[in-house]
Amino acid sequence: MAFDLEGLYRTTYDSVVRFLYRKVWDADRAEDLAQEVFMRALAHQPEKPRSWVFAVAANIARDEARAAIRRRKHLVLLTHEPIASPTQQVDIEDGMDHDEQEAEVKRALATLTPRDREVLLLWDAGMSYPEIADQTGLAVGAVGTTLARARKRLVAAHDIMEDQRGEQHRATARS
Amino acid sequence: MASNIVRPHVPEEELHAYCDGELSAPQRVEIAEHLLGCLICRSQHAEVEELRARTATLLALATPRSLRRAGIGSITPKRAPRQLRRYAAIAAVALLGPGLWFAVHPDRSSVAAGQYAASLAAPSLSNALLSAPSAATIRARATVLANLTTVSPHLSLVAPAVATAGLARAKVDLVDVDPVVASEWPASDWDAALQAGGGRLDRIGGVPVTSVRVRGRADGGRPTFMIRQQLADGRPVWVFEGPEDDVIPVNQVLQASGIAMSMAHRTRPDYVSTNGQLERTQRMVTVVGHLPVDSLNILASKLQVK
Repeated sequence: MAFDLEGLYRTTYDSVVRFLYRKVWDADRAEDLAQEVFMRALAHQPEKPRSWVFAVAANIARDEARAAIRRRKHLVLLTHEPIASPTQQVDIEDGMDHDEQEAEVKRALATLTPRDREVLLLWDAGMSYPEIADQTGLAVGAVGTTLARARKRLVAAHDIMEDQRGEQHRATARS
Repeated sequence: MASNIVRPHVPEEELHAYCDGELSAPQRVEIAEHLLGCLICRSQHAEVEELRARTATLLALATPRSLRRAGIGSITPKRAPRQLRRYAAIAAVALLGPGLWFAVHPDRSSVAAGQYAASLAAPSLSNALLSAPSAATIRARATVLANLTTVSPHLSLVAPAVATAGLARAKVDLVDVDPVVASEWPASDWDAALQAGGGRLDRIGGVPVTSVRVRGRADGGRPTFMIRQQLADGRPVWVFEGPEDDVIPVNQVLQASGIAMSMAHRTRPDYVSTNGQLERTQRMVTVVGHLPVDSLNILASKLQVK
C-alpha cells in the first residue's frame, strides 16, 4: 500500500502536537516539532506510520529537552545583559484559571518517572498496549501495570496540590 | 452455593487493561463473568474507571490553545464526591437490584435473564463473543449475593415512584433487558412519552428506539424516562432523562457498579407540567450501555431532540 501522508497527518497530527506539547510545554514549538516529524515521515515512508511517528516525536522531544538545558546554561552567562535575555511571551487575554490548572497538571506529570509519564502520554495519544510496548521496550503485560501506576500517581499528585490549594485558601480567609 | 471454585480477584492492572479495551475476547469474557459475581472487583472496577476519567480530564487540561475545543478549558478536574466512593463501596447495588428481582421473579424468561446478565457484565463486549450464563446460574448467584448483603437500603435509591396516570398503560410489549427494576418503570410508547416529556425528549439520532419507559413522580413533577435504543450490531444503549434529583442517583448507582455510562449532560429547565405551569426542573441526559465510556460520551454528545 502506498504511503498515505495526508491520511496519517489527518488522523495523528493533533495527537502528535498534544504529545509534544506535554513534553516541551510550548505550543508553537510543539507545532514546529510536529511539522518536522511529518517531514521526516514523508522522507522515510515508514511501514507502521503511527508508531513510527510517535517514536520520532519522542526522540525529537528528548533532543529538544537537551537543547533547552544547553540554552538555559547559556542564559545563565547572559543574565547580566537584560537585552539579550529572552522575553517570555505572556498572553494577557489568557484565562489565568486555565493556565493555573495546566501548571498543576504539568507539575503533577513531573512527579512521574520518565517511563510512567511516557507510557501515559502514549496511551493518551491513542496508542495501543502493543504499540506502547514496542516503543518503550516494555513487555505488553507490563504496560497495564505501568499505566495503572502512572494514573494513580498523576491523580494522587494532583490531589495533594488540590489539598494544598484548599489549605492556602483557608489560611487566606482566616487572616 | 452457586460455585465451589474460588476465583482470585482480578489484578488491578488487568482491570485497567479491561477498561482500556486491551484484552483478548476470551479474557474479556472471563473478567466480565467474574465482575458479575464479585463485589470487591466491581468496586475496584468502578475505581479504575474513575481514575481513568480523572486522568483523561487532567491531561485534557494540558493541551495547546490551538487544539482546545470549546468547553475543555472549563473542565474542573474534580475528585469524585465522597458519596460516589461510598456508592462504589456498595457496588452490589445494580447487580443486587435486578439480581434480587430475578431471585424473586423466577418466572422471568430465561432469554431476558441471559441477555440481561450479558448486557450488564460485559461493557464493550461484542454479543457474538459472549456466552451468556443461563438464567439458573444468574438466579443462583443473585440468591447467594442477596443472602450475603443487606439489600433493601440500597434498592431504595431507585425505588420511590408512582406511575403517572395515563402513562402506565403498557402499549409496547417487548422482551427487554432493563438496567433497572422494570416494575418501577412502566413501558410507554414514544408518542405518550413525548407528550409527558413536554414535547421534548432526547435520544440518539439515527438509532432506532426499541422501548420507552416512564417513571412518574409522587409530586406529579416531571417524570423520568428510560429510552432504549438499538445499535446496528444489536447492542442496546439506554438514555436516561429526567429531573436531576431523579437521574443522579440512577447514574451514581450504575457508575458505582461499574456499568459504563456517559457523563451526565444537563440541559435547560424547560418542562411544562400537566397543569400548564413551567417547572424549573433540571433535565439531565445520561447514556448507559455496554460500550466503552469514550464511545458513550460521543453518543451522548450526538443526542438529538426529536
